[in-house]
Amino acid sequence: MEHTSTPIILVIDDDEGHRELIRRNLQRGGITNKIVSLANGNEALDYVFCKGAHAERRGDSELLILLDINMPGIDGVEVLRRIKADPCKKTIPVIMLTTTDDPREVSHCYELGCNVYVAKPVEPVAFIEAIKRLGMFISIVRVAEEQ
Amino acid sequence: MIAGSFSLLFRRSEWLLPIAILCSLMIVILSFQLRRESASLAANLENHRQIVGDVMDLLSAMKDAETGRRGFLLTGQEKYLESYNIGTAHAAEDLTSLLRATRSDRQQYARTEALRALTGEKLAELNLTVKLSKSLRRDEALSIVRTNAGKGVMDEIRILCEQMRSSENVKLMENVKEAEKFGRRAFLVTVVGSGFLVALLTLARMVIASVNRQRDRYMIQLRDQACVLDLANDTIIIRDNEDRITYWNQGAQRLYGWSEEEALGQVTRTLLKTQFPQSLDNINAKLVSQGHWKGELVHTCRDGTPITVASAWTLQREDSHRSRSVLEMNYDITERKRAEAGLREVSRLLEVRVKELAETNAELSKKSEEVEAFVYIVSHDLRAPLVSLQGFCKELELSCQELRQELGGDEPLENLSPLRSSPAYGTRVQAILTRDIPESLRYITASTTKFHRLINALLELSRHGRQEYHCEEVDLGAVVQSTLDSMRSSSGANGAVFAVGSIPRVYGDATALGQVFANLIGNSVKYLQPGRPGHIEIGGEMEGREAHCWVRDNGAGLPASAKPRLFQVFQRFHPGLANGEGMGLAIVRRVVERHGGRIWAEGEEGVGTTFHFTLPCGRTAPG
Repeated sequence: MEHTSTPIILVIDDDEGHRELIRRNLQRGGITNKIVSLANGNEALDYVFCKGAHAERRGDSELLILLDINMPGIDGVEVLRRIKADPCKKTIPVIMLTTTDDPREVSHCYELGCNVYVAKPVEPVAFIEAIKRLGMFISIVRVAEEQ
Repeated sequence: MIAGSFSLLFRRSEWLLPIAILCSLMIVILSFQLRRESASLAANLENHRQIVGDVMDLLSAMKDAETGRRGFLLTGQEKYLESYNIGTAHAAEDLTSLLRATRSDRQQYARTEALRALTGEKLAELNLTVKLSKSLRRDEALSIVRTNAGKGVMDEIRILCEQMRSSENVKLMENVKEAEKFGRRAFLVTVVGSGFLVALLTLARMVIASVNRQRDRYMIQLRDQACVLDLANDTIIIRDNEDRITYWNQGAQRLYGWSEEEALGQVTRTLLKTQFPQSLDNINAKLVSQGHWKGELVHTCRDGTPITVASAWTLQREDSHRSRSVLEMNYDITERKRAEAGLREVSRLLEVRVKELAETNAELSKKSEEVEAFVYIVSHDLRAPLVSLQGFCKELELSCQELRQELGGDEPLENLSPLRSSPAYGTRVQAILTRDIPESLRYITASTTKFHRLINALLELSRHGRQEYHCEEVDLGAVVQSTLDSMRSSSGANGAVFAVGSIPRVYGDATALGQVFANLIGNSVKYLQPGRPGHIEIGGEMEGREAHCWVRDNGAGLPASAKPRLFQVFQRFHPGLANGEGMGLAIVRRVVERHGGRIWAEGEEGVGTTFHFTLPCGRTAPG
């Protein structure tokens, strides 16, 4: 197990502008992880489960997923459900990204097992704070697991 | 009372007749006995008279015979023999009659026998002398007379006759005494019997008079009752066991149009063309088993009008079930039936209307849901590009800062090497970087921020439309109090004074209703008239099954033109007084209407505003 390698951050959003904003914010926040941007749910599942266009990918690298809820086709909620339903992949931390703070949607995502819920980066500072905190949280959990 | 005295009377007159019969019988028996006694007395008297008469006649006949003989002996003339012949003949007849009359009296009979012997002897002597005289032996005859034997026999006869006469006289006296006693008895019987009969007759007369009086009273009563029955507004008919009408009151005449003369003797169902709700056999079976029947019948009046009646039949049995009569009372319910039919029609129409209304309501509610979903989707999807806009504005700002950093930070641009050659160019670049671009960005940011707020407001409204309500009984007083408490604690009261009246309990979602009061009171506080201390009154009362609540203030009021748009989204009427999106009242209306209530506002600009709304108190499902 290659735990020492930093996790790849998957940014899944159908809006290209949003993906770019997220990438810029992450980089500006000093996050150096490899960032992979994907445009829809299908691509995201292919990547996570090493299928289709991503069949060649080695599946041992760790992932952190930033997942938009509203996407055409397979939406974020469905992607989350499939990841959490898979015994191997369910430990992947998932951060739901959304433009809305509709409480029903939020509670639904938490029910499905998302780790945290973040509003899209209208305010970059708050966004980066949330990501950083989550990153720290995840590394602490991993250290704890190793011990 | 009447029945009691009647029965008493009946009992009295009952023993009256046997007594009268007994009395009469006794009088008859007594009279019969008296008559028999009287007949026997009369017979006795007649016998005495006969005996006395016969004795006297016999004596007289004997005397005649002797006188005739004497004359004949003395004169020798035949004419004296006539008296002699008559006397002897009479004497024989009288003797025979006397023997018959004295048959029942032994003593007298014996005397009569003796008398017969004596008279026989005397007559023989007379006959002998007469025969001697005829044969001209007159002296021989006179010598016989001179012996006086004939005179002695005659004297004996005379004595015997006197004895019999006096004996009969004694018996006659006894009989007269008997007759006197009988007369007294007869008088007594007559007097007592007559007295009894008179008394009985008097009593009978009294009884009859009393019965008559009673009967008259009953007759009057009966007539009065018949009058009442006749005058009764209801139809009263009496039928015999062949369903023929025996009584037909004026009510029946009024209802059906047939007069009493026409109706009597007719068969009811033929006369009135009765339509029965069930078979007549069934009805009659029930009538016989239970003694009565009730139901609705359709009759036809004389003029052909069909009418519906509520009919009540009562069976009256007489003569140990053999004959019966039925009392039928009918009440005209045609109007009621018609009204009921009308009511049913109205009710049916109402049901149709209600159904239509429910359909319309469902359609509206579906439309409303569609609109809400649309608002949600639109506002949600509008946020995505907005996020990009806001995000890249930020990026541009940062890029500008970076560019300035790259160009030398806070140093004047003129000093920057690439621009040093041309001061004017430097000034121009600086102006763009420090003034034009940030200014554009500020406008864009302001717009996107407003855009963001509006979308949030729309989303909130749509959320109020879609939010699930947890309905329960809500104490609105407590809701208002907690709203005011949180408002004071966040010092949002703006110095206003609140007056809270009693507010009824309603049925609804406590959170949503809290929002209603928060928005309305919040508005009142926000839009106070500058320079006038705020006074806000919150109250409510029950109106039927609804609670009517109000929030009244003395604030800036509403322009008349505001009324039609008051509850629409993004409407603001006093933008100078406070900030807001113009969503508060739209949300309030949405909540009130979802609870099944209504909302309206009154007020005058510069004087104040009152918001009224109603909420249901019962369990109606809020949409």
